[in-house]
Amino acid sequence: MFSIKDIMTTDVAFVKKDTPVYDVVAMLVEQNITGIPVVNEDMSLAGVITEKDILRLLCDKQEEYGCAEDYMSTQVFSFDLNEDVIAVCECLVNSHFRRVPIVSEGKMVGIISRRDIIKYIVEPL
Amino acid sequence: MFQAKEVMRTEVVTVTPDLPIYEAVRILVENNVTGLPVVNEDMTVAGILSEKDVLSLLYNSEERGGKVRDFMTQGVVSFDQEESLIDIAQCLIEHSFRRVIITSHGKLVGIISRKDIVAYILRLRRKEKKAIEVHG
Repeated sequence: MFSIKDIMTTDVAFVKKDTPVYDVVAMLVEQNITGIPVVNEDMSLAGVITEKDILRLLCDKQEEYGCAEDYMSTQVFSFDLNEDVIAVCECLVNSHFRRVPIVSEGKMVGIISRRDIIKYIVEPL
Repeated sequence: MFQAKEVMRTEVVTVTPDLPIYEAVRILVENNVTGLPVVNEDMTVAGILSEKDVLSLLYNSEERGGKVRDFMTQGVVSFDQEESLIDIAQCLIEHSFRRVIITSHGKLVGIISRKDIVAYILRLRRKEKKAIEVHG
């Protein structure tokens, strides 16, 4: 049976809590990703900022735009590197978010998205 | 005010309800899209097939012989092409789906996803910044 390690993406873009929100928007668009982890200085996970969080910029026009921290979701599911990959898949089936960060010893080491699983369905390793 | 038709993508990859599910998954991957509108022959909308709808194929091998209609989500939200982009953004904030179908006279003419609106927000911002640089 394959493991989380086989499927996860390790080359993950991330931002800091104080990254200006429009820099985050540019990263999402230019790197063609739907969400980006927000990390603390020690690489522990602070939250995730997604396209959905960014849509607020269009609806609530403000004078001052904040940082990643002001827009990110902090209630984030994550999985340990040693957990079962089926548990990750079930979590992505049963919830509406499309990626979960993978952590090892408290630090973010990768991410698994629905897309990673779909690719595996089409072309098993 | 911005209308759906200014932002929608009109080159939309669609599938039909009777396509084998495996072919549809390949179309998702090959076109790098996260969801496919499912349309009837007259371009009215039958549903949407999203990545989420097919994830169970990983561990449920009996399902692999199915058709698109067995997996698709029905009763999808659509907007007319003249409706306001702000209303569409609000709808995508309130719900968990990530794209809405855009119709004209009840037939599919385009699609708007969260990604399209995020890219639009970035374009607006860059235009604003440029205007500030030019006019002080």
